[in-house]
Amino acid sequence: VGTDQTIDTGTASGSAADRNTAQLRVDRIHAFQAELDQLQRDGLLALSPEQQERLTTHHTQLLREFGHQFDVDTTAGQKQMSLGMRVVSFLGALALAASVFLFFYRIWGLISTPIQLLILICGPVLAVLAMEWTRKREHSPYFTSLAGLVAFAAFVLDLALLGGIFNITPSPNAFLVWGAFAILLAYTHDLRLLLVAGILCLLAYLSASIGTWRGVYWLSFGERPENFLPAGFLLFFVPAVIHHKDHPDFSGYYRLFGMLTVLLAVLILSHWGRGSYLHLAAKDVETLYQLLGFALAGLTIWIGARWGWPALTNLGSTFFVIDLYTKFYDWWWDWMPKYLFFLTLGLVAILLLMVFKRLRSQLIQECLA
Amino acid sequence: MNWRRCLVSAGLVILTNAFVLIGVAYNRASEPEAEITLTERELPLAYGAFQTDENTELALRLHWQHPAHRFGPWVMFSHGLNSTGSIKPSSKPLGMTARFLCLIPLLNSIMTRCCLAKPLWSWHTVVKRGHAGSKRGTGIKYSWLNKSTRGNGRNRTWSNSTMRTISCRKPDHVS
Repeated sequence: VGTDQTIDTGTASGSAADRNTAQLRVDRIHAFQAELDQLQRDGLLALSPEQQERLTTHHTQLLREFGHQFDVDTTAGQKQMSLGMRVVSFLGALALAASVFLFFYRIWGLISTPIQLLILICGPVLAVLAMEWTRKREHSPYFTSLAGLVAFAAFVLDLALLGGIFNITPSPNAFLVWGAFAILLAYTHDLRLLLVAGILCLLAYLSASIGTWRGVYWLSFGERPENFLPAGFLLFFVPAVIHHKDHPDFSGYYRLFGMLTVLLAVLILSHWGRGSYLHLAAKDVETLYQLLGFALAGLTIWIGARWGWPALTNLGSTFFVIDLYTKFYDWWWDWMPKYLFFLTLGLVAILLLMVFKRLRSQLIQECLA
Repeated sequence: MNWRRCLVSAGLVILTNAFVLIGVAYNRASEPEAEITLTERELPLAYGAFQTDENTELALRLHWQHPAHRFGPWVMFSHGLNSTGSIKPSSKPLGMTARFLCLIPLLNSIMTRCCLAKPLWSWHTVVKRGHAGSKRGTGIKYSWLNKSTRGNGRNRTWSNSTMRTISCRKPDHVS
């Protein structure tokens, strides 16, 4: 039994990357133990009692150290609990943010302007300090995530209420600042939920900016789905420019939300040609975007399969099916008997399954080769 | 505690707030050039305001009639407002006040928020505030500011005799 040097358990740096690596190592140990048991039961491998004991001792020691040092899940039960804690921390953060919001409204009329300002500015700052405090005390990210979401909510409330108090002209720049704040907290504390919040804010800012360049009032940027296309592509290519060595799973979020934005915008335009900037008849625009929707969905599936990004493959497959079924509805719902319509959908689903099965077996063969 | 990490996050919050407040101070720096007096007809309570004890803030809305309405609200964005209220074409960017005024016909009603205990008009650049019994022209007269209405939003209404004074500032670039 050799000593794995993937992670040095002797140094308690406790960074997000170390924690992720430790969790991966723990998962590998469990997989190894399960496979070893199976091989021993099948009689293909037999370790001497001494080897078996050394291996078990080594793994037990490693799991204990990882659990103590990085607070990773070392058993299946702990993993289930962690999932539950994640959900609870999210719901708790929502409840706390709502509490802050409603408390402000309840006391707002009873306090003077300087105190209002003080509360608005101190709210997010105190929440940021709370994040640092919980991070120092806890290895697990649940309380930090909770405090982070409260900080983000407090900062959103801060700018929104400042705008209300001083009647500041609404501006898309608020989304830029909110996005920057959320992404900053996400990177410094390795919080995925805040990263998603930041990505959504950046999407809103970029789309609104593109809308204003076209002469649209920024609050109406949602009326033109094409405003979202450059923003979506831009976010999709962020991981190609910025390498996430310390946060390897962050890249997937940029790709997923970038492509989701693009595919959603194309889907809307394929049914609502009047919302396009293109100087074409609405019907032509819809046809154009329907073709583009199928092409982009196929491309997304291919990219996901080619580079091993399963989230993108699933996203592309979902949108391919949605595009297909909505077209079937447009073409056949009115004139086809309903039983025949659903029969057609079922047959198409079977056809798609066969195609995906063929693709999957090709991928397996490539892996084996 | 990682102070550097804290400083970056908290610094962004403080810098953003400082930027906003400096902008507000700049916007209020000069004296209003003209004043108009509004009654409750033009400046009523906002729809649905003070329907619950959970909300102690005050919201007003401003009804704004303007000759430019016949062009549609979007026209306002490419024009500056002059002191007489008519529109004047301008290629220069609109001042803060002018941009605010341009939003009024667009939205048709703007929610103005202020606290009850110590009134704070949100469009402070165009509205001056005062207290009941103050000298004419110094600002808004709040006849509803008394202890009996404090903290209970449902009882807060404008007195019919209350007059509000709004000061309009001409954009710098409009001659």
